[in-house]
Amino acid sequence: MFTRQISFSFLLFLLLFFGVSIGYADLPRVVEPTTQINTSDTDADALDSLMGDFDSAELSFMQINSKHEQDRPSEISGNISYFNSYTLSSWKPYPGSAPNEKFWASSKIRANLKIKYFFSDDLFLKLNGHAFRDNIYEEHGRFKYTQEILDEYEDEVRADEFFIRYSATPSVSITAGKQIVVWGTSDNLRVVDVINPLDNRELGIDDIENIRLASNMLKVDAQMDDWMLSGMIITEAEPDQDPVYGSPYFVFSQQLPAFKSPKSERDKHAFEYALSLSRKVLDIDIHGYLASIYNNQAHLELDLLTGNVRRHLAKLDMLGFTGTTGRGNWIYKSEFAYFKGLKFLNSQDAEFIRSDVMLGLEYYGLTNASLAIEAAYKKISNFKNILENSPEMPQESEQNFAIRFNGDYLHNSLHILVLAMASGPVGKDGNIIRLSADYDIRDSVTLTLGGVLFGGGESLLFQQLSGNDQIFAKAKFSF
Amino acid sequence: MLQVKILVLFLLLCLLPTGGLLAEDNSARSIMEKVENRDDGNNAIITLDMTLIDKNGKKRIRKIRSFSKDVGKDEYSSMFFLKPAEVKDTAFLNIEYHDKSKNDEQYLYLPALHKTKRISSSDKTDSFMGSDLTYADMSRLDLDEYSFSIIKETNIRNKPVWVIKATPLNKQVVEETGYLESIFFIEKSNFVIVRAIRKLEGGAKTKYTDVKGLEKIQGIWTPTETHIFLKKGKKLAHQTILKNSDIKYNQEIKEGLFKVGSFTKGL
Repeated sequence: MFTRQISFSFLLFLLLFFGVSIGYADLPRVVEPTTQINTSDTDADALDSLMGDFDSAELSFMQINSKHEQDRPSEISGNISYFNSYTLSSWKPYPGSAPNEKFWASSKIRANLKIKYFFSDDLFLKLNGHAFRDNIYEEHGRFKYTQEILDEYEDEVRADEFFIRYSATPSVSITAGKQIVVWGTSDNLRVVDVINPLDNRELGIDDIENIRLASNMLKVDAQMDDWMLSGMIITEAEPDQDPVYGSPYFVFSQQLPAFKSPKSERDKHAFEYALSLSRKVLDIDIHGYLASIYNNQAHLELDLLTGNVRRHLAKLDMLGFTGTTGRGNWIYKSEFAYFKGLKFLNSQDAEFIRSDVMLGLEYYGLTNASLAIEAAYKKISNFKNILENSPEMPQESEQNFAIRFNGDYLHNSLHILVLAMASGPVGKDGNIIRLSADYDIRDSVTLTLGGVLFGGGESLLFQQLSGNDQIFAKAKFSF
Repeated sequence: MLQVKILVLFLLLCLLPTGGLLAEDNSARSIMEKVENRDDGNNAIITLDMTLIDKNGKKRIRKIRSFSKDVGKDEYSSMFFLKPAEVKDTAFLNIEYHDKSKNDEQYLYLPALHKTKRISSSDKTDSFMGSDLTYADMSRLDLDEYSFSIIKETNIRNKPVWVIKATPLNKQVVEETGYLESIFFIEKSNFVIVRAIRKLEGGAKTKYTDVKGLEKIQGIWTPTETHIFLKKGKKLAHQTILKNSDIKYNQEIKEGLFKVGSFTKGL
């Protein structure tokens, strides 16, 4: 664990040093005359040999169909991928069983399909869905796994988005159905991004773009001059999809209680409402958010009549703001959110208030690459000591950090991602480092190699995750 | 992430339309001023097909629909990516302010993330979508940052051209654009740069641009096909073929195409 923390700190140091160096390099410099530029071979005498290059270059001319496909009533795209991962640490595949040594952890075939059907210029239907099957359970023996694991990880067919959108006027559109709405400016830390639940079943393995779960809602977007207004009514409150009993990502020693759906509990109040308003003020993109939603992260609740403990989603009131601006190669980001209504088992009659703040920097001055650094601080203002032992593991204050490097090389054929996330002061609660390289063999075929390293710290979650270091490979065909 | 910027500005630089009759002052600088000041319409709609070919002959295709318009002296442009499937529906908005004290603004809509990101790049040496074009190629030349000289006059495809060398006046320009020096071939009849040879920083690579197709569309000289290739020494390192089609100038363009909030709708 200590080694892991050292390696994380080293990476942090390198990236910060790199960032500071870049920042220094971005400062205005004294302009020096370029007396050393060699122009000798571009004089008139040498020009003819350069001109000859225009004719000698073996340009592979090809006919390109450049007709714009405007008349299509539908668009179909998608991909098929094969994903393999290998666990670097030992893990008990079933509670109580002997730990496995290093082993293949996933052998997954996945298909994504996206269909857009245009009824007219103003009306279209979108279906975006996926299906997967992980053969690793069959290969290792299904009896080694809990039924919950087989139910959640072995195969799945799901509509990720399914909605119809009508543009009533050039500046007003109405969208109804299962959709994803992302609030906020951060790519890595969630502060105001509260509308959709997340798929956390394989923490760190999937990038954030694949982990949002769509919600059923009616959404109206209106653009009025420089103002952008979005209002939504969410008709289905869903919890995050968390790791299940027996999974290497599952933190607890026993199964979690069943869910008590907010819909069945109080139908009249099951709807969620959310509003966002944005405009630019003095070169700063300002977004304001207001929401009455269910917390996607469930808490436990004791039913005093039956004595049963159930998982439940608390109703939250949320107010948030974000601001983004740019200077030169830098983007500056900030987010703030205020939540009222958090609940925890150990003080279930009380409602708690939490304030979250995020500050971030992105640097785009690297050739074909960008670097982002984000830090978030969350604090429950009316925290009680009794909550320290509550099974939801709330903390009076939380600190999270993320550093993300994206680079595109070899004429955009090679994409590099380095993502390091840490929790707690100086990352002492734990950390995750994700590295991946995508190489486009062709436009339609991409190979990915990568790894995820979990650094266990003081947090129970990261201690559990620290046994899940993985390397992975994926081949993807897109159409 | 940084693969996107102002395609239309590339058109403005390389392929700018006719600017009227040649004045008597044919010094290199005044020729370049005429190249820069040509009328390019109040707005433009263009479909761009880009074929990237590596040294082994592997081809990759990019397809973009771009929209641009002038708002006073500021320039707005947006691009919607149509191919490949992996980046389809990605959209990019660039606002370039004439007032240099204001920061230009760039926004990128990433459908996979379901969000629009504000991005920034004053470094113009990045490749545009993996092609041999950089953002420096797509930006206007600041004539005050170069010295110009006419090397010779010759013919390209039987049309008379001036051959003008542009030398950066300081290292900062070299660092910002990535070019040690450039030679432009400017067609005398229309002030279009029909060829360019540009030596890259470091000196090992040379970039060649050749406008193979040039048409007058709605009175504006417009490149319809451009070949760009990069040589390292005498070896061909990479090539890009650009084809522009469905070109329309001075059309009514929906305001929403230049609004970040509308990007989620796509084209």
